[in-house]
Amino acid sequence: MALFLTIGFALADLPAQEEPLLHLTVVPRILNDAVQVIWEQTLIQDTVAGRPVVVNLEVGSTSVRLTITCYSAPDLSYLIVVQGFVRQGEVAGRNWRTSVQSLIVPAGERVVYFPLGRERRGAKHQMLVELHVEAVLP
Amino acid sequence: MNPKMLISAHVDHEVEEPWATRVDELIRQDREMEAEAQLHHKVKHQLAEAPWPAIEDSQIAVWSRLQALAPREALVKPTTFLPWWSYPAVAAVLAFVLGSGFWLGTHSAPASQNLAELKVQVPGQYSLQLSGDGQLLKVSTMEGGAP
Repeated sequence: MALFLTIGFALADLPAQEEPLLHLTVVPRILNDAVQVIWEQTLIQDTVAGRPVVVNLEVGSTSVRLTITCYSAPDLSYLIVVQGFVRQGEVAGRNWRTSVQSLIVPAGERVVYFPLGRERRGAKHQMLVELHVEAVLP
Repeated sequence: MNPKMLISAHVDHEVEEPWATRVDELIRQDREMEAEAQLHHKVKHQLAEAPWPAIEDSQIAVWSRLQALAPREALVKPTTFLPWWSYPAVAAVLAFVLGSGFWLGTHSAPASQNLAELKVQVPGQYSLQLSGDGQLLKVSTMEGGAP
């Protein structure tokens, strides 16, 4: 009885056969005043359509948590949903903001996400995260 | 040797001399020996007078008594199989347990187990400003997504 319960529990964790495998590339970047990339790091994660990938970025007193979920459409396009949670500042006077954005892109299209907003507002540096989704061929 | 043991043989004239004479003297002198000898004579005479046993009738009688005995209960083969109706019941229970495990797996697993989580500690000091909500744009057209 316990064996069957364990098997059922394990089966629940298996991805459904109809969910395609996706290759997600996440490249966070820091830009300077001249809009030049002064820091970047490439992150690659294989995932399943509909399964979120979380990226945590710590930049000094700024914490960025991105939950990226990709869904595949029959026409080979992708629906990318990005939920951003940003926390900035020390404990006293801490600013935080959450947002959810979605975008349908054709296969191969690159998207960019500005977790702190697109406007600089006098900030010396700016953060953006480039995303790229492609199907994993069997 | 106990002389009493020779009484039976003596009555059947099977004791040789000089022991036969000696047994005769003991029988005459000892009452216990005499009684023993008389008992043996009596038994021998009764056996001689008894009718010849009906062996076949005896065999039939014994066999009849044996057959009249309560028959031994047949060995009950231990049942190793369940009743026919129990198989679908067992299958239903196992399917229920399997489904319960599957349901528990989909509903109770902590989110972290289903999430791939990447952590990046950006080195250096950068001046970042939280200016607004996050924005998702296509690189090719810089068109934004829907909130």
